[in-house]
Amino acid sequence: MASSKPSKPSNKSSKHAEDSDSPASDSEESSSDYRPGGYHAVHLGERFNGRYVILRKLGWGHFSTVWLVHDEETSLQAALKVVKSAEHYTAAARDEVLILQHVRDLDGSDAHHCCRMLDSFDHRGPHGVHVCMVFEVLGDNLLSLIRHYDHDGIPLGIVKKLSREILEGLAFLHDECGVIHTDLKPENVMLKRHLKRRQEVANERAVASYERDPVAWTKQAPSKLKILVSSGKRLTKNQRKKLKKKEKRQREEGAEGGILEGLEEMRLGLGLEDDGLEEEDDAPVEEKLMGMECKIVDFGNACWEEKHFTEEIQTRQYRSPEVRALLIVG
Amino acid sequence: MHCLLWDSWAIRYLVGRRSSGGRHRKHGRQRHGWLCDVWRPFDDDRDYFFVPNTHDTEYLQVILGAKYCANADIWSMACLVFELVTGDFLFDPKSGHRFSRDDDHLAQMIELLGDIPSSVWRSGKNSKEFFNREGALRRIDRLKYWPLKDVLVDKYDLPREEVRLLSGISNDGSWQ
Repeated sequence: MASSKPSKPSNKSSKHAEDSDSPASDSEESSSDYRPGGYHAVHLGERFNGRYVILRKLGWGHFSTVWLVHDEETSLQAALKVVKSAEHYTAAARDEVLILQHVRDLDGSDAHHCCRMLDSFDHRGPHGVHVCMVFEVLGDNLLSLIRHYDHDGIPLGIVKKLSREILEGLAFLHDECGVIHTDLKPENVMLKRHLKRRQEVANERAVASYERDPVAWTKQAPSKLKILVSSGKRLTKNQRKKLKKKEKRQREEGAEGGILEGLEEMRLGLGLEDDGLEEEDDAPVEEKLMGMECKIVDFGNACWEEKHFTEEIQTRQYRSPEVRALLIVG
Repeated sequence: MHCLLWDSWAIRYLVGRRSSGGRHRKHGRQRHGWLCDVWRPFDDDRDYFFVPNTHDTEYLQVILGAKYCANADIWSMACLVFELVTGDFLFDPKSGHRFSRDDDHLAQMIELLGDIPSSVWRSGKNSKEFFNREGALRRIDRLKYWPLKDVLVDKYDLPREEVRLLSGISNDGSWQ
């Protein structure tokens, strides 16, 4: 799902206030946010709602972390968004769930380029109750695509195809659903698949590893480092490094049957550099893109036309002049 | 209109919706593309304008009556498309010693889209904060006007024909 999310309606102090120059951040979520009211310390193999088994981390936002899960009921993969547990995050997430349900109900055939919520539930953890949402698994977002073309622009044919799909999605949201997204930007439009085979391989490997031995997978011990961090213990940089090293060594020794830990895996750039997978990338990117649908994601800031949750909307660069922050119209 | 990308994108998109039936009549008024109408046509290259068939005043009422509406998404859409085409932000305002980021943002919009008509800046609740009596920005002068379609052609070397085509969403939503 969308990484790097901007501000939540009810939490004005967060990102719009800072108005960070770059709308996307590639670093990781802050480990100090693993505390009551913050993130849930998800661990690999953890089971959610009795059916979703965590396979690997896909990304994070300021309000949630997103994980690749195996759905034991359907035997399919999905993306699980686990929202922070503080009250205002929970309240905003409940609104998000309502909007997503509404969109899903009106988009029975999945024809309108809006990301689909498959399920939602609450998960109780040591840090409180976390609203969880299950989505289809998608690929790269459009910011990655912009970067793929080195910020030199995407071929116009592809731009037109993508724009048309996004406009269709917006038309559906506005006219049929009465929903305003309020945070449309490249990060929040995702392609159905990844551009590089390599990234899909990371998911496939996690799935394969799970399928080899589902029982062992679900019995994995959570990382000691994470437990310490999530219990609010303050570690020095050195202690942290040592623990990380140790856990990595243990993994490499095969102590856990080659199971990779999500966080660490992300940090190593998917840990696949030396796999010789490099350019088995088949078709040219342009060709792939023309056949690849995109979807509007991240309704975390969306609101109803009749009911706005906040007047502070949109990430700075995409902010329209009628928005209160610019105050052209009153 | 000054800007192919978003006046036609936004307006055609919105108008396309409107002509498809009265479904989105909300609160007893129709939704209009205000992007086109807040800033009156700024240059003379009119052949691709969409000429709205409703009275301008009605547009303005809509504009002034709304806090923000679905059109906020269309604005973002235009910014997004520009970014896909060029790889750069359309607006990336920064604050300076003597002006705020909002000032700069407004200045960039005016440079790209033309002056804001007085009927608009006069009626804005807080426009006094940004504009003086003459409708000029209080804290930023010497604006460098550069209409968007020229930016696309001059700075990004897009062929004029392509820039034209970019606006080619017809009312039924298909590419012309």
